[in-house]
Amino acid sequence: MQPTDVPVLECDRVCKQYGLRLVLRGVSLRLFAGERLALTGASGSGKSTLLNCLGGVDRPSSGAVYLLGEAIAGMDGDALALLRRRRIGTVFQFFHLLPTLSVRENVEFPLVLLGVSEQERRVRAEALLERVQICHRAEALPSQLSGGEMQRCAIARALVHRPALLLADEPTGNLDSQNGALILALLSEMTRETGTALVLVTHSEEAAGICLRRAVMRDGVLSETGA
Amino acid sequence: MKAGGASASGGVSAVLLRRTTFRHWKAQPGRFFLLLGLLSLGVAVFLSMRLANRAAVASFSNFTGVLARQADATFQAPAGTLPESFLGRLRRGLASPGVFAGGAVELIPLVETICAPVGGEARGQIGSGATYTLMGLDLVALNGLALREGLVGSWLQPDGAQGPRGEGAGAFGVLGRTDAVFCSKQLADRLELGAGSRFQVVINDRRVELEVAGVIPWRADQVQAPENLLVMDLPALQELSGKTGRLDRVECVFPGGAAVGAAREAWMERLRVAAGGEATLRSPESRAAVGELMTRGFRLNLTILSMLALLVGLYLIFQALDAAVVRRRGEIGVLRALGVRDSEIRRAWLCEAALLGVGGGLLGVLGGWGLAQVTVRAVSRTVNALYYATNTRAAALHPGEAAAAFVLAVFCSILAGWIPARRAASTPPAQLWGSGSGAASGSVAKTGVRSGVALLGGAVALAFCPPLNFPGGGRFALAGYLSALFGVVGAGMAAGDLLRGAAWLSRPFSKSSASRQVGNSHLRAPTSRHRWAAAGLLCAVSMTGGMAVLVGSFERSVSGWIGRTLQADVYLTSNANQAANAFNRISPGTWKAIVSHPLVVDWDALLMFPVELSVRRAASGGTVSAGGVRLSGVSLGFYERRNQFSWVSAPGDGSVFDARLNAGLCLVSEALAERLHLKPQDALEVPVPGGVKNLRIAGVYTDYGDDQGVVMVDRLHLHEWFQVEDVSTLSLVLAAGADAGKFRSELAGRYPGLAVFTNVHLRGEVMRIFRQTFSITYALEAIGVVVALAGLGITLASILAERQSELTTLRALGMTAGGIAGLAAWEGFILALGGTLGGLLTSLGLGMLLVFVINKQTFGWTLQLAIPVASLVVFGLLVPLCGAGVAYIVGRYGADLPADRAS
Repeated sequence: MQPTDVPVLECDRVCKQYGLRLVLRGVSLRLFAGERLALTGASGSGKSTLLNCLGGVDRPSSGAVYLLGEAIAGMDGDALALLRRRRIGTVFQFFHLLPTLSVRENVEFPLVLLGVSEQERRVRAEALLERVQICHRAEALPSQLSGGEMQRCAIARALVHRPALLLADEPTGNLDSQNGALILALLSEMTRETGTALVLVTHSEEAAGICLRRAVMRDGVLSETGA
Repeated sequence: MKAGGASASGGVSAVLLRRTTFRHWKAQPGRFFLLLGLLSLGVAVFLSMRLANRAAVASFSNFTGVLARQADATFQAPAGTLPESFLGRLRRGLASPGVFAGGAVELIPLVETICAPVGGEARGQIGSGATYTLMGLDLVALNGLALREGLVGSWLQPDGAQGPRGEGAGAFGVLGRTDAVFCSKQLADRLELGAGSRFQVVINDRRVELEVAGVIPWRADQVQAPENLLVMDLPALQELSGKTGRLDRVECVFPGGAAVGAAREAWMERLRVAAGGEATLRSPESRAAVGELMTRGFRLNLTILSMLALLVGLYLIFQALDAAVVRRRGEIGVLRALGVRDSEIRRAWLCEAALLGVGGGLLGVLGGWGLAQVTVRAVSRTVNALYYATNTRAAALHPGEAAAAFVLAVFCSILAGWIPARRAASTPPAQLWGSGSGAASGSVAKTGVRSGVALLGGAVALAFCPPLNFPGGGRFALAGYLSALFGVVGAGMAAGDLLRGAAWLSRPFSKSSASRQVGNSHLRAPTSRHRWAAAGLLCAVSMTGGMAVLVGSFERSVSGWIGRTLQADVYLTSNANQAANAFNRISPGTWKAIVSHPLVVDWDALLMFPVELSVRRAASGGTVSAGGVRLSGVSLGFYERRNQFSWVSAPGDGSVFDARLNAGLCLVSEALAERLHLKPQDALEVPVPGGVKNLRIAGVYTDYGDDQGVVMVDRLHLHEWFQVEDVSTLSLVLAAGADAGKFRSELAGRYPGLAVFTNVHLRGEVMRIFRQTFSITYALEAIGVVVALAGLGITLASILAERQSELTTLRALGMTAGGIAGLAAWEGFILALGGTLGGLLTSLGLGMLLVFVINKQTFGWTLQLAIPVASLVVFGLLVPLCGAGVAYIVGRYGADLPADRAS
């Protein structure tokens, strides 16, 4: 898929300071639809902070973040929540499925937030569950799933509302190599199919391998290293 | 080695307290003070009730104790008053050779009456007007005693005496004056009275103008005079109160200081011999016990309700500490990973609970003392309406009560901290770092439900057990109270399954909303924390609902009873009868003139005396003392004619209603029959002046006006036995078409010393007093529900803190702060709904237990069951809505919790 004129995500000299500690030092970044960026770096380098700022969970101390051309700096908490609800999907290292909802309910959940009708929710969730091959576990609770199944469920949940941006934080960090490979393949295929931009935080070379662009965080400074 | 280990272990716990607990308190002072405040509230309510009770009961005391010296013994007539000649016989008996070789016993004769200030009397509301206890004393004898006791310069001596004294004329200046009184310092201050001030009071049916002859000063070395005390010369009050030649009591002071032990018993025996059995001799303790016995049921009710406040305090500490375990789970995990032992962690948490108990206890004692100054008035009003005259306005801080409340606070706090401490110490570090430690395992939940069902079974079995019986007719519904406790706790333990049901029922309403869907999903498998919150609410709701059923049943029964009993058109009594034991009367001249009014077509009068009753047991042939009851005289024929009786056991024939045939017959109230296990044909020994009347019980009737019991005889006999023509109240039936309101106004204008009520007004007053009696109960119940809702809030806060990870996920998925608050609100609503529905169901059982078992065993009253459906429905809607409101606020807090990870 070719990049369009308006980037899905744009960071302009983003800085984040906690007290006297400067965690992000002027990070700038542009990501277009269908692009996949692997973000690597040592622990404490600022990856998580950057991901928080990109997802609108945290606010930069200075600089700006734009999502589909819209600056998120001036948005209040509710507007940010609505933006995440509509435009962003998130996959976590520890899956973070809602423990009391079944697999199907977890996948449908973003659509419930968006007020999608029950019938359509059901159809879209079924399709994604089939795609990630856990249809047979649709009524199971997260506690009854394996790690790989949980992460597949999490990917389905992250993509069910067709977000423009997918933020994935060490999605294979808690999986064995076989499941890890399966999850990476799913992420790669599904973002390609839907044209979703992907920011993938990882320590793994295999994971970074599915991304065409790579960047490294060092002491709060982002440097792109190419494919 | 072991000892060293223990010591080191204690040191580690101390370090944990210093380095973690105290720092958490310091970091979050708001949370710390809120918890302390809630605990101290429980202690304060408990203590205030105890202090208020004590103050109200203490007012039923020996007033002469505040004037010179506490009497060592008191003579009282078993019925009515003592003749003055008794004093002479007593003195002669005591003067016999060989008796009292060690000195002369001081005898202080007195009469006592309750009077009401003009302008402060009824004004349409019975029991709301001020009353004074007016005591007539032999002031010369009292002054002699004061001098012998070394009270030089007492208020009894005229101006000019040396030493500290009150202002005024002194005892000798008022002898023979029927208008001179000494009043207490507090009363003088409050009414701005000084020597020479004049004011009017009502005594019996007359208005009397009195002049302040002096003020009884407050002395630090003496018992403080009750605020409502007035003292006058004995003959003067005898004349004013219609007790010429009669005495209410003779107080005795032993020579040479208060005797104790065997010496005191010897004195008492000598006095008994000297009295020749004409009067009952009581020690100060037994006299105080009379007041305590009278109010036992009332005080028990308040004590149990105030214990409730402590229980909910205990529940809150449990919830708060349990929540703290959740919040500090990571820290506990690190400590355990670093090698801190289970016992050390447990000890640190128990110390934290104990310290909270100490802080809350101290604050609670202070708060309780303050609160008692408010509650004492409500308690005093009820005691005044139901038992005896008291205008107590202040409650002293009793060291024993304060210590008991403090110890209870610490004990409850440690008890409440036990489970969280165990939980903190026993959870593996890995689980402490993870999530879901608060969830109840299936086996735990099932055990809880099974135990709950077993307790409910025990409650049913206990409901059929008889009460504990005490000598003299006292009873305590121990099994009934235990049944209530088992029932409420058992239902609370089974409450978890109600939550599943409530979640299942609300599922159709949850599908369209993400907040409701998540909120609901958490209750499909409720955690132990959910169960505790629902159980707490269930307990509070069931007790409030149970009391509502009891009060509703009372109201229906009392309404029916007054509908039957109050059938006359107009009622009259002395304006000074503002208290239950005020026996002011209407003189014969007055009542005879009133009943001969042309508009009066039928009438009856009531004459009452407190008496010491004895019951002859046919089985043993012996006689058992049954304590104080009321002996009432009415025209039994009038009652029968107007169909005013509601029978428990109706008389076999009509002879009891015929004054020519009923001299040896009586009727007894249900409360008395229950208390003493009496039935028709049993024999009673009723003391009257000059002897004892043997009466046979002809029937048992319903009477909700007195929980001590009433023996009812025909008034004509009572006039004869007591040699009085006065009556206590008058009931008048007017001619058809007569205007009762106009007639009332006419009588009120003509007889200003009388309170005149129309039928409608009196019925309204009876119901008002009835509701007033339960006002404290409602207040305590309301505190219980508020605290349970606070507990719900704390629970949800800890649940949300525990779900920090989930909240972060929800936010990452795009849920707004309002959505998260809505989630919490829905969860709180369903939680409160489950607790409330369970509570309402339990309240029906509890209500029936209160009506048919506890009330019957405590007061002996048969009540008609009435379920206040409308009130319960409103309550059932209000509590879940309040629960949702509290949960929404907590949810807003939850939405602001920091993210637990990078998103």
